[in-house]
Amino acid sequence: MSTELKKETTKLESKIKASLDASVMDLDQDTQQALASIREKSLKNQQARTWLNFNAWRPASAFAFSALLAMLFVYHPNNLDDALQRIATNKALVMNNRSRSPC
Amino acid sequence: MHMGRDFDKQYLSMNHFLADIEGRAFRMAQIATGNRDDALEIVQDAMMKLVQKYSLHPPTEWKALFYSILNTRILDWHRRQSVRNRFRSWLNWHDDEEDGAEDALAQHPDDKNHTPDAKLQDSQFMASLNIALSALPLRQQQVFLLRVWEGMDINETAVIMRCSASSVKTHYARALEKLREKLEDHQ
Repeated sequence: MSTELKKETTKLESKIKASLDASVMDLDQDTQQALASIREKSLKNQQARTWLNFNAWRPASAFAFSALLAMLFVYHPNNLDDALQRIATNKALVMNNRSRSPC
Repeated sequence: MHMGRDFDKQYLSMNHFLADIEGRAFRMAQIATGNRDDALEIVQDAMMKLVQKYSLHPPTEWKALFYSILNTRILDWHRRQSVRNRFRSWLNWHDDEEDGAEDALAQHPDDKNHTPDAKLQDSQFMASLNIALSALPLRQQQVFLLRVWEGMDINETAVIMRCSASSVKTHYARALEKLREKLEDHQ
């Protein structure tokens, strides 16, 4: 492309851009209002979604997870196993005693 | 609260982004469809989808995503129109052609700060530009507007248009050539 043509092209592009920018600035009141209301409607949608979004609930989830860990730490599974074992032993003893005792 | 602050920040940046882009998006859709109401509907769909699907993406990605959605919506509109037109011609049902397309001169912006001569010249240029842009094939029109108006580079445009960089170059060169021919009198 020759330098002259390049210059001409750039000039035409700038003129077109300026003209299109002016057409946006001069949009009629009705259209501007319609666009603003469309934007508002879309953003309301965002608000509703954000509360359902997992990321937003991250701090709460982290707290709940920590609480669960703490509970598991206090009521350790080994302790639970011991308790169950004790109950089982007691039951077995009772059964044994019953079987030994005369009718 | 941290969560509330995050939301406010995100809401404000999305609001700012949409407010900045809505006028240009509307004009692009209007040039492509020739109809104000259809253009508004297309912009609404694009905004809704951006907010619903991509508001958690980094704001730097929003522009490309928005134009990608907008261009797809415009393409869908053209497909629907061509099916409708084929159906109409099949039924030999001739509608008034001026029904859908608004008069380019009527859409033309008023300029308040210029002298009457300059105003008239700008006005005539805008009218011719509207006609010339509307007459371009859709892909050429979209590539041209993204490159010239949005200042996007070839690769960004190619990603938005889902085509190769060389196609973008070809579309752009053809569009520019046609516009130069049609706007020759105004240069």
